Amino acid sequence: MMDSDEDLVSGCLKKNASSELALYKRFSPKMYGICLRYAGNVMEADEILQVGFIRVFNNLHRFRFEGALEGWIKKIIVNAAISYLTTTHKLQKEVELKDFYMEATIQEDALSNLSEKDLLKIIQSIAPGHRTVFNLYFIEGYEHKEIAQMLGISINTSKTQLLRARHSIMRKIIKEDLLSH
Amino acid sequence: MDQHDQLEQKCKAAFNNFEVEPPAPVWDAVNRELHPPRRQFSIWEYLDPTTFFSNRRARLTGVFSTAAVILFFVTVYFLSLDRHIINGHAYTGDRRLVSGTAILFTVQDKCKPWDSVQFYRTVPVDANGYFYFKGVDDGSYLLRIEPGHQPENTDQFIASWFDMHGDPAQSHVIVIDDEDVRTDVHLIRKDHPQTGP
Repeated sequence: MMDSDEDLVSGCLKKNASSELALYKRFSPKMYGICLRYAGNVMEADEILQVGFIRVFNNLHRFRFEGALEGWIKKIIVNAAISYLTTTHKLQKEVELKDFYMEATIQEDALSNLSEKDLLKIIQSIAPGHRTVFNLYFIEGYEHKEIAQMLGISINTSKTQLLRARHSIMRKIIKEDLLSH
Repeated sequence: MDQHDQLEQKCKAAFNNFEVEPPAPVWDAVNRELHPPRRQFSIWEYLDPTTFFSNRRARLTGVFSTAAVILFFVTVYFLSLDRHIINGHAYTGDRRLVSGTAILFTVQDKCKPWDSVQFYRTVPVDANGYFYFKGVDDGSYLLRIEPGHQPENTDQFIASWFDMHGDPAQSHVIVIDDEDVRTDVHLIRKDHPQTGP
């Protein structure tokens, strides 16, 4: 029988090794998927997941069961990813919106034919700053104001980063599409 | 913007339940961080201040060792409170005895010391006539000096009891209570009227 989140948390707080492993096994695949989206490669994702889960276990006593455990862990992992990218890649703080325009157009088929793996590969290949804002806005669903606060950038920078991220992804999708035909 | 919405929808659909099994070394690293393996420290590492202050076990061991050493010296100190020194010089006339033996006897009955006398300890008398008993318990004692086989005038003196008696029944009882005792013994000439056994 599968332990409930409460049982797992209580076991982890008692430093029970089997509870710790069970909690890790339950949530790590999903969290690793998040890490892969934020990281530029697998090694970075491994490091983010490792740091993130150490933070999860060290701060588990602060979890008050007011929301889902998964959501709480996800927030810590995303923050760990942001910290990692901020320190290792020095995310761009200010980007001007001027002279920026969209030039790429893509076929609908190109997008729909794209597999998760290919899309992940494309996201990983764009600039760390663009990737972070893209993930936070598109997938995590944060507003530009929240992203600006989280990353310590201006709202305009967040918007610009997102546009550039979209633009980079579009171009790469087109390139992939052209290569496949 | 329609294409961007498509991209957004595509991303959300793709990554909503996106799961990938992480590699095993990640858990190993997390587990190592949560339960660091205990390390045995050598005595030299305990003396290294960086090890001492950074490691809880080393710190505890250091504290307990220091406490044990302090406790040892405190115990020795308190035990030594009941122990004393008897020292002094032995003389042959105006000169100091150049060799001999100092013998200490315990006495149970101060009124009739010779009836309750018991051998306690001996120490040599050095070339300056000095003798020194350390770690002597509280109590009553008789002290006898026996001259060695030395040249010059030592053969003219006989073994004598503190402070200058040939007869032990007449000798002075040394009482040690809470202070060390200094006792100079003057050996008796063979032709002295007090000469006894």
